Amino acid sequence: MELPEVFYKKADFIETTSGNKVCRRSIMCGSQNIVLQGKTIVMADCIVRGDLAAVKIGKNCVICEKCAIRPPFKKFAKGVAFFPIQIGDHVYIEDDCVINAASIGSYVHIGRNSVIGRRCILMDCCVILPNSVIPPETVVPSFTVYGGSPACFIEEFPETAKELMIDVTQSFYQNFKPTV
Amino acid sequence: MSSNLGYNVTIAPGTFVCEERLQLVGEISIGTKTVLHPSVSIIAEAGPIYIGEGNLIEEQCVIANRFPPNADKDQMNQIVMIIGNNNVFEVGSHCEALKVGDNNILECKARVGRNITLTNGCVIGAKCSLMTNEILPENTVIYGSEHERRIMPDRPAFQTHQLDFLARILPTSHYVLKHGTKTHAPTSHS
Amino acid sequence: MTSLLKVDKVKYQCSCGTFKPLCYLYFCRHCLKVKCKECVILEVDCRFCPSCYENLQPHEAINRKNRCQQCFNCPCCGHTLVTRATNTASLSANTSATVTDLDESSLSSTSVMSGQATPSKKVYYLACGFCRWSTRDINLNDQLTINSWKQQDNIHEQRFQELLLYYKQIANKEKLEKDRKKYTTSKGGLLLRTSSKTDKYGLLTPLTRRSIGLRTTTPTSSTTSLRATNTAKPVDSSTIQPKQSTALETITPLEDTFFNLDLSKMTTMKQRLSSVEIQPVYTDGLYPISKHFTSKQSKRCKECDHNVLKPEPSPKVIKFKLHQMAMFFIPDIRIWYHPTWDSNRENVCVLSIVNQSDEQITLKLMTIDDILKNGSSTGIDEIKVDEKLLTAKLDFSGGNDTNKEKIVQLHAHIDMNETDSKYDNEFRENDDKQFVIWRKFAKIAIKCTVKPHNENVKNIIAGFVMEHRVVGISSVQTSIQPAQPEQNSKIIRHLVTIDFGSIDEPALTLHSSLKEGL
Repeated sequence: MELPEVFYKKADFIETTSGNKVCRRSIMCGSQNIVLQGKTIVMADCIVRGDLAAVKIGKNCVICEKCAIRPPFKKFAKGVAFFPIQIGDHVYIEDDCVINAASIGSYVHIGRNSVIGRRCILMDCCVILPNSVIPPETVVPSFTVYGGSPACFIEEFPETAKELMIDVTQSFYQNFKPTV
Repeated sequence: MSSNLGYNVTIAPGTFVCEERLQLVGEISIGTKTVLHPSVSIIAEAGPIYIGEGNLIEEQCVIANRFPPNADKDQMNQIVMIIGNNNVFEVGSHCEALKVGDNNILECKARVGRNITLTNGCVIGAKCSLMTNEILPENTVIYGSEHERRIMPDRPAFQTHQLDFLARILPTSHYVLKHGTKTHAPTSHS
Repeated sequence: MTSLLKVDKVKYQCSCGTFKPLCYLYFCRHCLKVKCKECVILEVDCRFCPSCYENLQPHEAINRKNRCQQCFNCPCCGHTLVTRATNTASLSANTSATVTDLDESSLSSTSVMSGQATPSKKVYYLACGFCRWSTRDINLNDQLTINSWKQQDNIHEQRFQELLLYYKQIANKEKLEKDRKKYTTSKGGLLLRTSSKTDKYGLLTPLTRRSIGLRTTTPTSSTTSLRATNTAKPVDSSTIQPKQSTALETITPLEDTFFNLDLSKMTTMKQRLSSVEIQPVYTDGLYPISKHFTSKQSKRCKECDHNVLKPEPSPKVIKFKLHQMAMFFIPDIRIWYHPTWDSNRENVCVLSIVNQSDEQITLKLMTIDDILKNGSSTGIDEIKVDEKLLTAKLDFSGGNDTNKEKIVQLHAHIDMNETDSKYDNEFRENDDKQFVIWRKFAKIAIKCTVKPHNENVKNIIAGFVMEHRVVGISSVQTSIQPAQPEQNSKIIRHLVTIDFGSIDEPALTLHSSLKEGL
């Protein structure tokens, strides 16, 4: 099925020169530490905690409403440190997700209302089903579908993941239009 | 900070309450060394909420003292909600428990209902929802989609290091409420 | 991503007859056929731990029973355990540790020595980040190095070895028998070739014996020759015979204590079966479980044995050496619009067709009726339509009704960034505007009508057939005559079914770019 058109109020979004569209109602803390590499959409009520550590989000990502992207912390003998979070290109994160991962590869799809635990590593081309809990420090391999709580391997994902994900994120961007 | 309902909040010294997208309703008191991240809601509609020391309350958390269902709101006596010390409310957790002891952890998107009493050192796992009427024994861990339970031999570690770190970093990039008492009249809008 | 595009709505028929979404299908360029997961042979290319990504050689992995030595699963919830480091507080703590560790003399002595050198020392334990289980829960001592966790001994190890040896022996025997048959067919000429089938009864043993005798040097009879090869091994075949398992006649009754249990100390069925060799009854018997390796696989066509998919051998790389997905050869069909359904009339729907291949495609679209009426033309694999599958009739709209076959041309797939609109015009001019209502790059939108067969239809499933030419690769590289695409190209047809969903489903909102066409 083709993706439907999504219309937004032009006043609600800030569009940067590199094509990022960020909702004014999102909370971008420490924006000097947040890098969006272009054509990324951040929707309403998202929280990106750039003040804790650097957040780098790749090209053509979609971050839906009410997501929290929060660098993970690690305890040491002498205090804690927050680690930067990296998200690759063509990543689609659905509504209400909490992302505490250390890194998310490219072409990743995270279903709605999922929790990605501290310092998780999501490799390229993986899928997280809706309502999953990925416990801290999990590694999700490429071309797999993970789901459940605690999330475990559900099935293999077809080898067309990259092409599908590029298609989804690009056509989402094209169909994300201001109301006239 | 925006809310059209009134509030009366007392913040102890050494407490960091981020002002961004904060929602406060009713009578609230927050103890020292507690950290509130942005976008937290504390709703004390059925009675005051007292939050102790060294608690960590992360983004999108809701701590609410709500009216029980089917209760006559005018007839009811005020019920106090007390949250102890060194508890952690992770991102998106939802706590309505009237009694929360010390050193408990509510993981991401955990929900705890009004009739639960959290004693000490309990961990409510991510996305677990607890709506029963019971007193959780100390060091209980609830985890997974089946809400399995087990008892830990000891309490989870303290979050003091993280609180210290946040106390250092939050004022540099956020508007933080000053300590003291703040009141907000119910009718006005700001 | 499959859920976002709802890829399971549109299914293509695989060469084996099943229907699958296009993105799950492979395409064999030698047979020029669509292959699904069931029509390919899997071959393990590399084995690695899904947690630490350690890549091992196959024989090494087998030696380790395909389990990682560093990564463990939690015996309580099945999640991966994490190594945690703590400092043993002081010397006194270390000495107390040595008291408890006395039975492991080598370990304790080192800890004493190092304990004297540095007052605080790092020790490691495993903990689960999900259910908060840790190796301290079962009173396992903290380890001094990160990966010194020992495998728990399997109490059935000896029995397994015994059985394994026995099965190896049987396998050997079977292999020898097979080899013998092969040998006779290849060497023995006409007489033996026919005999290989009838030799079941050993009538021709003198003949076969001769050939086996060449290898075994004990040409008495075929059975003795078998034994001879076995005796060549260090273990004698007579001792290999494993102990027979015996059935229990009497079962001791359950003890009374069984019924007053502390459930919090009991393991669940899942926990018990996850460490299948021990099957602990109480939670203090749980022990970290070594993580299983996972693998990257290459896929091979069952018919012609050519690879359809070959990944790069490194576990982290997502590239492919050979990547013949059906999507790259066959146009992709998606539902773009359907109205609120009316079972009594023809509902106008819009489908999109995307060409993901690098070549321009001329696509011929046919309704199911056309196929049933005309049958298949020569040189094209026949398509069998099972009409029971379909609950609605799909027709292509526009143009004169006599010419039912629709021919459209699709551009080669190009990156969206490097396109310009002029590119479309030449094809757009030739389009039947009533049929192809929109065109951009390698994508078109076509109008069709869908009419349910009767009023009782609940779920609307329609289908059609498309036909196009694909260029394959020949097995022999013809370097003398390089440009001969005609030889290997073939016209192929696909039966496509579209599940429009329930008849009660509301209409999809019409995309703004389609408004003028409809």
